[in-house]
Amino acid sequence: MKRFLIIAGVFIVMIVGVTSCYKDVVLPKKGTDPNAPPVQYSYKKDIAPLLNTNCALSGCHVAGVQAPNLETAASYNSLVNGGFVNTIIPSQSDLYIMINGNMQVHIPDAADRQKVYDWIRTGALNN
Amino acid sequence: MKRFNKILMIALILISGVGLVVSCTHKNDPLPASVSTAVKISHGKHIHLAGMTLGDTSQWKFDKVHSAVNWSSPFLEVGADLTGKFNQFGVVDLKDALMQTYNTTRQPLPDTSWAFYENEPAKTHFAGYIQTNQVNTGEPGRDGGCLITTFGTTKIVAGTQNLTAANVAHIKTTSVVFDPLSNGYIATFDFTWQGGGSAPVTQSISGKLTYIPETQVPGATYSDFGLKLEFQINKADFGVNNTEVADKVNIVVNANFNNK
Repeated sequence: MKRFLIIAGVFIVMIVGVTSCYKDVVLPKKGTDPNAPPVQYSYKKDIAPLLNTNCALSGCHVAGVQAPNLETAASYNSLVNGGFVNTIIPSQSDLYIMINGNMQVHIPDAADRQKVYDWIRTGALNN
Repeated sequence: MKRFNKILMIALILISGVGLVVSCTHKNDPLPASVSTAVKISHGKHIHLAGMTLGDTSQWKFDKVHSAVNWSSPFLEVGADLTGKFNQFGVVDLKDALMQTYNTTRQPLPDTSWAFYENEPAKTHFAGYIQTNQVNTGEPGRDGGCLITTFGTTKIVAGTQNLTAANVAHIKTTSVVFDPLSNGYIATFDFTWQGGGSAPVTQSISGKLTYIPETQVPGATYSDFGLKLEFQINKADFGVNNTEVADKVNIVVNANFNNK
């Protein structure tokens, strides 16, 4: 009985010791530094839904109302070919200027605005 | 039996201790550092000043023949780029008094409205123009036809250079600064174009300016350097509202200079 208790105790100590050890995986903070190296984003997965949800509201950036049309199906061409995105000087993009100015209230999270900026900085691809 | 228990206990303690030490590094596991995209920036001290005196190697001449002003914009607003260039352009601050028609096929005015200081961008400046009726997309019917109408100008008159307000788009720098993200510069300039409107419109635009350093031309006794200016305009801002190309128009100016 005594031996059993000793063995069980040692096993318990061993299991607790082993399972309580772990490595923290330190994820980078959500980017908000405009001068940090840009992160790659997908227009279709990351940017279009963000703009569609926050900007393509009734009476706002929808077809026939206020340019650019930010409804998912039309937003890429409306933004990029409509002259709202400047891939040569990204900070001069009307899109970037507007979401950090009057339209900031619609995209209040700085990390979301940085996401848009990084998408422009990485070439504003239709990816 | 007691001896066996002791040995077993010691063995188990050792095994569990080793397991603990091996499995528990007490180290965090950060993700690998991202590849540095920071550009190593270094600027030389070249200074290039304009002049027209042939043989004076301290004076730099605009090499129009080996320079170009190119544009591109997505065809029908959605397709691949439609591209073109302008056959006639110059590096001149086109003040109102100079905006007239010149009876010449050569450069109508001295291309001397510029200076470049590699390490002192605040001193760098330039001005220039293009003649819109000299657009060249490789399709004469389009260049001499619908684009003339689109640009609100008149066809070329043989033997002349038309620098009137309706036929030129011109730029003049208001500031040049180092680009913190590249080895180049950010040039901000006034861009003036009548386009499809009834009067010229001036808009402040920023572009990326790149310096291709002075180098002696192989086998020659003179040197050459280049400046490349890239920027975008929104043609709708200048009254050009068609849908043959997108509103976004990319413009790339490749300018070469030599000290022959």
